Amino acid sequence: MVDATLQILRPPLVEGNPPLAQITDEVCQPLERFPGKAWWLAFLTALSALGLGTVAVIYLIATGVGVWGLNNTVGWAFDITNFVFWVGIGHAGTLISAILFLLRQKWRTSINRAAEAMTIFAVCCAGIFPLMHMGRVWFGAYWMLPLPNALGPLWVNFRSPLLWDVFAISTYLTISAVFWFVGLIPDMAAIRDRAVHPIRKAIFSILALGWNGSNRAWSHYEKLYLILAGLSTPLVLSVHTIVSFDFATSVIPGWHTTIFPPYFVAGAIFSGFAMVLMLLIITRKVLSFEKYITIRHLEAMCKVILVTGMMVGLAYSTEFFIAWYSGNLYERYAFINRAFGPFAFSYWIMVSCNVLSPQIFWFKRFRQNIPVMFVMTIFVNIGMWFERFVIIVTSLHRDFLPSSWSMYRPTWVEFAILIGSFGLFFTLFLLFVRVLPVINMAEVKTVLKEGKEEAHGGGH
Amino acid sequence: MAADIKFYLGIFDDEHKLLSATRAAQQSGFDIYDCYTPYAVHGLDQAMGLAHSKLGWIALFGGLLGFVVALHLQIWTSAYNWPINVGGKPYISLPAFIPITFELTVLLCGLIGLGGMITLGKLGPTLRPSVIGKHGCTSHRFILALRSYNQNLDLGAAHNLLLHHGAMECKWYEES
Repeated sequence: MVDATLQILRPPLVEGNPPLAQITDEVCQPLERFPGKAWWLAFLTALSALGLGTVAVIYLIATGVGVWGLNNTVGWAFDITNFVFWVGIGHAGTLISAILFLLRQKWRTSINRAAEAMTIFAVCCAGIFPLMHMGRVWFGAYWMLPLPNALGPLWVNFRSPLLWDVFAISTYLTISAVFWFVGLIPDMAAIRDRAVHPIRKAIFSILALGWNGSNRAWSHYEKLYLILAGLSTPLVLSVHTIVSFDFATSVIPGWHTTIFPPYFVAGAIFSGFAMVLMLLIITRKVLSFEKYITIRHLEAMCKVILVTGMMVGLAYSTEFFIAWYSGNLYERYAFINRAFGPFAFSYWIMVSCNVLSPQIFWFKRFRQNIPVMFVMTIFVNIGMWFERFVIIVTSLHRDFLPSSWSMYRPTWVEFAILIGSFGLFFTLFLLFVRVLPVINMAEVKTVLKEGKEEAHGGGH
Repeated sequence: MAADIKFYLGIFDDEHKLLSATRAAQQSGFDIYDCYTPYAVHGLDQAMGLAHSKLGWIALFGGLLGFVVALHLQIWTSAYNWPINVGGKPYISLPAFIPITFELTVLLCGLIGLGGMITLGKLGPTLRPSVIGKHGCTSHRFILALRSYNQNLDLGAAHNLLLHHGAMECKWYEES
């Protein structure tokens, strides 16, 4: 009953309370007409960026990692920064689809499909970087997976966090894809049933696995959805925890800290929400989904950004305090060097984008102002990219022995691959909005007002 | 001779009408074959008298399998098949094996859970989905299908019940 009261007080999750058939029509229509100019412009831009990245990757693989600006001291830089950045982006999708599901936050229904798609594409982008970073990518499978081989067999080292990462990222990608696919089954069946073209009908018939809305199937479906949500919740926390172990289990000053796992997870949710918000602001405008992705949804995401931004801020200050309090000279120097050394600009970009700028979301006026939100999402993404850059490069370039100190300067190849990864991400996302329903119809239909009148306790 | 099985469908435009019709049909002892809905309707399982899904047990089995496989893989490769001393750590370094054990537990639990859902829900890639669920019930219609086995359905009572609970349309359906 509490639930029903809240529903009355709050603005509706879908504006105008449309009939069910209209929801199906409106969500499916963008898939059934030829894309407009805006889509083609965006798609060609993304594809060009992807092309540039592909050229750079081919050059890299043909020549060797020497084309990057790495040196003996700074052995990780853009590659791992991009990897951690993209894995982090992925986290918001799982948070929205799994954690908010378990917490019964009904506003997730309009945005979970797009957020899950974003997760999968971001993890694909992330996966490229460690592969290329290994140099001879064609040996990658033997270095990463416990495959039988003729060297003993010599197995991978299961005590290494880098190997944990392989398992964490691939499990994360698989389970996110399963979660996404399961959510899509009823909607793909709806598309199949309204498809006119026989090829379209055939493709969606196969993908929808013969779904016909049977309640006996729904009963198992709902159970699986609950299980997947329950699995994904610890999984998403484990993934960025393990990514942070790549650093935290080493002995480098600035990396060897126990705060890393929660700090990384909070940062990942922060950056991921910014990316989801950016994509949704564009999507709702281009596909005219203002009715489904309302200001209320956007405002809720701004609140999450504000909270996680402050968690990240707390982590920055805790790190600094502990560096001083530990009395460890190397640790202290690492932090002084971060804030005032040659890479100080990156530290201050990070602090201003991640800690200071989200503070404007304390004001409702800005949480409901779309241009402000859009600019903020770009700030947060820049800030979070620099956070990983600060952690990786400033810690490595000056560690224990001043004789081994060095500087790092990225080359055009590194920039091209970074741009290429954005190209890949947006290309995949734009294809997604063309071929699959961006709004989870089967879930949105359950949060309509008319579904609320007869209180069916328990929500999902 | 094959039994004569037919279905009498009541088509509704609202989940509440479907729910009350299903409850009434269950109480009056009709043979409820299935309901077809565009989204999961809460309370329909109870109304139809369905048992709880057994999928949880299948997923649990998947999880346990993943746990055992992961531990076995790591211990066998690191300590038995080709033991290598890494930084003086024990060959069986259990704490270091936990992350991968967790990941494989989750992975197999999810994948076997998906397989279980597809099997239990009688799903699978097909070009010819069962048409009983057509009539817009993947979009905006709610259908209650009553089964008639060798013409044992009391047609008059079924028709009255469906109309009484607000069915827009009632019709026979025969699986070809």
